[in-house]
Amino acid sequence: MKENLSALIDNELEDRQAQQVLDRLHADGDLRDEFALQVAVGDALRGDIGLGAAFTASVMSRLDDEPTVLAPVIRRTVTTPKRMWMSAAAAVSGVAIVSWLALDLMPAGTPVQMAATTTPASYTPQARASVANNDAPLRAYLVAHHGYSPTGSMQGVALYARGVSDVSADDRR
Amino acid sequence: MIFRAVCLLAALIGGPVAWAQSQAEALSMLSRAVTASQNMSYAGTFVYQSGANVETSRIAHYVDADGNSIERLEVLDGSPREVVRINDEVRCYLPKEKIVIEDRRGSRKTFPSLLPESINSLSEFYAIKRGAPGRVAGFETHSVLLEPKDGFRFGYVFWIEAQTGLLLKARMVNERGEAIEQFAFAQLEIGLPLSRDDVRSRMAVMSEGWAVHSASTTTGQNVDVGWVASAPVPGFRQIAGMRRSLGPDRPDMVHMVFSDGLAAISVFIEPFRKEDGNFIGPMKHGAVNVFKRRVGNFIVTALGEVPPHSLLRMVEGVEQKR
Repeated sequence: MKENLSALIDNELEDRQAQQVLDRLHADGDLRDEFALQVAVGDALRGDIGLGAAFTASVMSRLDDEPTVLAPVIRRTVTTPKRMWMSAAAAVSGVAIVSWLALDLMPAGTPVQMAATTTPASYTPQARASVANNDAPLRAYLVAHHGYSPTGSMQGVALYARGVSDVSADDRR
Repeated sequence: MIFRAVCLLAALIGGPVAWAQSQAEALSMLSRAVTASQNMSYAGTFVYQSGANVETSRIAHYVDADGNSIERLEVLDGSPREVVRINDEVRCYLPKEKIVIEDRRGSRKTFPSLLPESINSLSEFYAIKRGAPGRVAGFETHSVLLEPKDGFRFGYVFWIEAQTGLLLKARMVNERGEAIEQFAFAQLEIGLPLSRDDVRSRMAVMSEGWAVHSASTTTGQNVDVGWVASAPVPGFRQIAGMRRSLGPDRPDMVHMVFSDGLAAISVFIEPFRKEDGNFIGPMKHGAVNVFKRRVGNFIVTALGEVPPHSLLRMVEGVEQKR
């Protein structure tokens, strides 16, 4: 089912298969969490959106759940320079992603540690560019939508702050 | 022993009674907030927060002698943007993109839809109760919590001004109680003697020659649009269905709206065009999720302030009537 979930996210499933996965998603809370996590990881790797501290916690708890392998480890005496470079890069990018994720969508009251922030260089400009160029139709949809949003009857024009806000929008997940 | 039994009995009976009372009070506060937002004149500064994005706006609401409701919102951070609403006509001015987005609804009578009767049906999908009182922008407020009863919708916390009933702060939260989005007044004056000039557009004069995105409705708000959503999201029923004009050279677009009384999902259906090809699948605009899917020669876009899987379900069930 997890493979199907990835295929669904990548829009690679036939309609019938997709419906089956959707039905399972509705029935299975764990699978929904998995779905949310996969989408989140995809977003993070593409640098599309920010995620919360809870995401980091969720990944950490997932790591805790992994079985500990007690088999003897074969010690490698020779490490090729290329491999070392890759693990270093992975470590650096991992740190960058996790610390940047912790910034976004924090629960209210959580202090923001500015010193720990490292934003992947490619993130912001790309996201902003797609807002400026592509999202006029989406903004028009949002404006039409908010005309019928029941919360608008309490919030009035304030709700339209969503439609005109300069958030990193229209990013394909 | 008897004393204990009495206490237990009191707790058993008193618990549900107190809960029902809390729910009734909370519902009446929401009801007041709807009325207050339409009848009160006010001006202030509010902060909109979505994820890491924070924007401050100035807002003014003016009700003229004829009962016309006019609002103006001006974004103070980043590029200047303005939204002006006169009754059911909304215009968004985006000077950086040189765009005006217009939206004109039909009858004012049908909406806003958060009417007392729909407020009462909210309790089917949300556990509603009073929260702790608090201060917002210097005003004492009551708070109302709406906790979703399933995973198809988000939760809400509303802070409502104690005297006037005006909504001063609204927060949308995910299943872990974390804020996804928040609107909050930072400074506010209620009942000011405003004039028409206070809510007049400053950008209308400079908007000549800008591209106008208008999708005015060409039909009533509840007509048969020839499309159905066959796998509806639990609790979401259709509250509107209309055709909208996209211009003289393009066929009309279908717009259907589904709501559980608080959250809404819009479904837009347009003929497929080549440029739509690369934008299929889930997307996001701040706290609003978006899902696009191709159905035959059409592009179906569902969007709303709901979790992604709710949109997925909605969009998967959209089909043309045979």
